[in-house]
Amino acid sequence: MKIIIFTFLIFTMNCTYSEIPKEDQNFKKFLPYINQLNEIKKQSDFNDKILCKGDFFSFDVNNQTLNFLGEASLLANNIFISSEQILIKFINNKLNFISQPNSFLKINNKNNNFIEIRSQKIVFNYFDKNINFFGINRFNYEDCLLSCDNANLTLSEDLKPINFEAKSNVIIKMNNFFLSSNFAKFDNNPNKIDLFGNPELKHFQNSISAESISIWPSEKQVLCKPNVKMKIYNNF
Amino acid sequence: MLKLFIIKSFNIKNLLCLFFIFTLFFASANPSGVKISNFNSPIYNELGELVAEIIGYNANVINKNEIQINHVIINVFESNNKIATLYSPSCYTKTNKNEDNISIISSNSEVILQYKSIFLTGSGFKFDINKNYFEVIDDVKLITDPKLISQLNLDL
Repeated sequence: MKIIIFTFLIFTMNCTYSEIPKEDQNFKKFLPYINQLNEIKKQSDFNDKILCKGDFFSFDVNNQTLNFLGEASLLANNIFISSEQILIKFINNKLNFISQPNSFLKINNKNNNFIEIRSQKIVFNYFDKNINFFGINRFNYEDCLLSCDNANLTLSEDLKPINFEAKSNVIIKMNNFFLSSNFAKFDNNPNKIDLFGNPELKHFQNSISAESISIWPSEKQVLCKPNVKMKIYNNF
Repeated sequence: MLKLFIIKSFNIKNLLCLFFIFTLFFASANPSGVKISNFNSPIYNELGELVAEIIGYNANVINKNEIQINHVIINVFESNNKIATLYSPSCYTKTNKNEDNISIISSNSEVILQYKSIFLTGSGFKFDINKNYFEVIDDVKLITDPKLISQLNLDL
């Protein structure tokens, strides 16, 4: 009889807590997560952090891929990336951000000048501080407009541009001047672009070709060397 | 008098037994209202591999296929290694009608996910156990400290 009553009581009694006692040992394991969640919610300044946002998020555990969809964006120091999708993946334990399609990247500099890049696909290797651009790429820097098939941007530890290389079908527009080549290299200091691989400068019908052409967008200067060939028409 | 007492006590015994049988029957047939506290429930996939571990503070059994959990930590495993941890103040687990295992864990509450050095917060989530696929529905924000990423790679 006692056993029956005891069993009956087990089935019917309320064994949950209506309130969470602060000293409850079983609840302590949840507290670090609750505190972390509250801390992130309160945080408004993300200057020293990498911040990624999106309308929708999924995490494929099998591929260990984090996927932001919708209006996806990434902010890391002075670099801002936005696109329709941003994938986050650790490749060889190195953090990679893959942004596609219709990606937009903006890098702000100290002097209030900026680089804007539009690309089909951007792969940002955060650990190596390296960004690769694939597909049709368009770059806007000062008065220069550059388009190419592939490009690579190397950054410093504090994510400032150091070196930029554009490959395949490189076309640069600077005022009424058009430059074309197979390869272009951009040095941040002293703001110079070097073109190699059949470089050619065109201004209306006039053209200059050489083994290499260097341009200084800020100073509006061009240097062609060696083996320079020049075609000049009346409208130069 | 003694006879009457024996009859009465016999009736009480019978009534209690009947009541107990009815209680057992209803508890097993319809578990709604059953409450569980401080539990740890491992989830395995079809291959018998550990996929996730649910650590709950307390839970209310809504019906045979649905449980509501207050304060939940979900540890996500890949090849028996813990790769991510999720916390939410509240969530629901659902089982398929023909299966006993939990198939979907979902919530409309806030959620925080920790994966390597990354923290992700948002509102509402859905975790498909069979597909090993996790979704956050709204207000998704990922934050990571660059210093932690450097340390992570240096340690490796």
